[in-house]
Amino acid sequence: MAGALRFARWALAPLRRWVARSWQQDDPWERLPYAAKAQAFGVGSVHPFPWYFEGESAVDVSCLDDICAWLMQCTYVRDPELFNESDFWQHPRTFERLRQGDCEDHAIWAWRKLVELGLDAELVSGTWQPPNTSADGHVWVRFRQDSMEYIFESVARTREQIVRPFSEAKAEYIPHAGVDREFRQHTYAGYLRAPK
Amino acid sequence: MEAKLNAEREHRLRIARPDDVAELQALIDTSVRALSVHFNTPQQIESALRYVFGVDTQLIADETYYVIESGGVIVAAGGWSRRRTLFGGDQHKSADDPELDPTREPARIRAFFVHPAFTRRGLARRLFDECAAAARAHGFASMQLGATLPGQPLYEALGFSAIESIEVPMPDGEVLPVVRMSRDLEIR
Repeated sequence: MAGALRFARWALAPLRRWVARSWQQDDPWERLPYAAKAQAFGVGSVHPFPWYFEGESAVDVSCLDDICAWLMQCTYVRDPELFNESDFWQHPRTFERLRQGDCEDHAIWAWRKLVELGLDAELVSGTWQPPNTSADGHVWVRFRQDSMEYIFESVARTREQIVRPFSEAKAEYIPHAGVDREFRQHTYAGYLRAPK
Repeated sequence: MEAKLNAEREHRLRIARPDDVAELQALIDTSVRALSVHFNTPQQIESALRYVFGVDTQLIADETYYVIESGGVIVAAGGWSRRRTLFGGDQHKSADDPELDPTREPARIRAFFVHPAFTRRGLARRLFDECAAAARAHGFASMQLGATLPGQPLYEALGFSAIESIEVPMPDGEVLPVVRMSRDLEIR
C-alpha cells in the first residue's frame, strides 16, 4: 500500500508542479495545498517543530507586551558570528540563555510564547523587504488576536515595530512556508516567486 | 610521561563558550548515534536525541562545562554542575535549576560526549579530572550522575557505583534507560 502511494506521488509529481506554476500568484500570502517540509524553512531547520516546545521556559510572560519587552533586551547576531555556522536554529531555552541570535531564534521564541498565551500564532519563513532595503531571507510570526491579524516582527526594537497590523505590514513580506500552532506545515504562493 | 604530555598538547582542554553551542550539538548527535548502537534501539537513540540529549547552556553560563579540541575541532565535551539537574539538554529542562548545597548534596557530572573517532584516548578521564578538581574546590565531597548504558562502563572505570536504575519516559512513548551513579571525592 505504502509502495503504491509512493508510486502515485511520484507519477503525479509533474502534474503537481504544473498546478503549482499555474496557480494564481497575485497574493503571495495565499496558502497552497501542499505541506512544506521542515527543511523548506531554512538550512538550519533540522528539528521537527514540536521540538521547539519541549522543556520548560525560564521566562514568564503574561501578555503580548511582556514578550515584546523581553525580546527588546536581546541582541541580533548572525549565525556565522555567533556559532561559526551558516545557519543554526536554537532551541528557545538556549535562546533564553544566550539572549543572542538571528531572526529565526527570535521568531521561534516569540511563536512559542504567543502559543503559550493561547493565541493563534504561526511561524513563517520567506523574505522580508523593509522600505529602502533589499529583500533578504527572514523568519517571522503571524498571529490573530480579538479577530484582528498581526505580523510579529521579533527582531524589531520598538513595541510598535514588533506588533504591526497584518494589512499594513504584509506587503513587505513574501512568505514561503508556515507552521501553525498545531504544527501543520504549509506552503504559501510566495514560494513560487522564490528563485529556484 | 612524554607521550602523555604530547597527547595533552595535541588535545587542548578549555572552558566551553556560548559560540560552541552549534558545534557541541553536532558532536552530541554524532557521538550518541555512533556509540549507542549496541546499547539502545535506533528508536531510543533518535528519541533521546530529540527529547533528552543536547547542550545544557546553564553549564556554559556557569563555566562548568569543558571541551577538548583537536586541531581546532571539538572532539570531546563534559562538565560538572553545582545545580540540581542530573541530565538532559536545554530541551529537557525544567524552568528552575536551583543550586545544590555542597555540605550535604553531591555535585553533578554532566553531559560527557566523545567523538567516536577519539574514544579510548583518555579524553573522558581528563575531563573528569578537571571536573572533580573544580567540584572539590567548590566544597563538594561527592558526585552523582545519570549514565546512559553506553556510558556506564566509563563511569565505573572512573570509580562510580550504580545506585538506581531510572527509566526516562519520552513523549513519543520510547523509554530511555539511565543509571544513577555516585562516588566520593577524595579530600586532597
